[in-house]
Amino acid sequence: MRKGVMRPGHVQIRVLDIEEALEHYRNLMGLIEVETDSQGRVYLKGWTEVDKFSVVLREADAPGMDFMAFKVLNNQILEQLEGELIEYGCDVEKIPAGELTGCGRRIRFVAPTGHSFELFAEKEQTGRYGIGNHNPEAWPRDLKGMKAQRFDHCLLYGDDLDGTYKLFHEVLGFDICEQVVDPDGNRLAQFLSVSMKAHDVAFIKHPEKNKFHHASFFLETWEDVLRAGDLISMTDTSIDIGPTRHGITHGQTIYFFDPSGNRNEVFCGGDAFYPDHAPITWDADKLGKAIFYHDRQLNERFLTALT
Amino acid sequence: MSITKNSRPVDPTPLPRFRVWVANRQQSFTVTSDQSLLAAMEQSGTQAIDVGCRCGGCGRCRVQVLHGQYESKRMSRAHVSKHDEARGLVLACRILARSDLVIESDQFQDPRQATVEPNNNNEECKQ
Repeated sequence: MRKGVMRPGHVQIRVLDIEEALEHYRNLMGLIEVETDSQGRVYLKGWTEVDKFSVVLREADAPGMDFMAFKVLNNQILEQLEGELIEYGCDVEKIPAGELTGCGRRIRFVAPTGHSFELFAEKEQTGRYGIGNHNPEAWPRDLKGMKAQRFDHCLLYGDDLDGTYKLFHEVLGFDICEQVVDPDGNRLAQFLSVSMKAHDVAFIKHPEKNKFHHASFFLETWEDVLRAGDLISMTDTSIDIGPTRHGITHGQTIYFFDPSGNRNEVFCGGDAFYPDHAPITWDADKLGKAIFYHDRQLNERFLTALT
Repeated sequence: MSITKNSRPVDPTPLPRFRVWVANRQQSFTVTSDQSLLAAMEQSGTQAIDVGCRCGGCGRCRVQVLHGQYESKRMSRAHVSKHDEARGLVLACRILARSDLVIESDQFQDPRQATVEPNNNNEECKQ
């Protein structure tokens, strides 16, 4: 049952060098640079996003993900969910409005896989970059690089997949859209949706807690994904795999790394999901095809190159 | 001064080249002074070091330098502590050779092979 969580709102990513990271996220991926806050964190967004920012980069001595946030419908829902999280057994941290510039108050909790998640209801809306809301043109003409449209989802690695699914399903209203299950019935991967998208956040089973696999950004067409591949070569950016297709979600994709080793994805397509859809199940021995539909085998890097 | 018809810019001084011997794999490759060890290995077509993110983040290319001089760029402290760095446990994607090197690859600690239990974080939501 939907509980008023709308969509992924932002992700804060740690990078080893903020200038190198900006060259990557702004000039290669084409995110719009919004501002730098008093802590030196840099805010960016995809050009179609109406909220002020969706990506926050923070310089640190180890890369990875600080937290991922979801936007909820309104403050009443935020209070409701805060109460339900506490009742469920979560240690909920309150972060005051303005800690991220332009963002309202946030609540933060740690999921059983060890990842920090946040909910918030309000963020300054600066509108779609370059075209606005009134008689908008098709797209702004000054976009750079891959012209990433929006921050779409994260894939995270951690140990307690069942615990995180239970929390996301029962308290936050996410549904399981696709899963990979081993012969003993253990879930090895879960793709969760709170919208019509094939995933808003996904998890893969891994012995360590709180590992970051990738942040993903949406492109419109397969042609755009191929063009992203060209740009990755032109800039000598570290490639992981692709362009290819995922079996899971059927999206078309390319994986690559930012200059600190955090993996990024740009993708297009992906199935539509409605809350009455039964989960799609992949058997563990088909994991290769489920992840990389054309190669039909996982590269070792997919399972071990994490931040 | 003579001007030749095919005047191509002449390389200034060629970059110093060094030999890298990967002791545990019994393989070697050549690196120039402006290339990371890992980039040189990939370019040479040898498979003496595991390749991950190539950007100092994931730890898959962790190596032990046994002999030789090198410079290093910033590496994830999650995989290379100050102590590791001081005793030559570094990421091949972030070091630049300054002499011939002898290294040992396969120093990535694969958590899937670890015998220690992961830390249990008390902050997690528990029912």
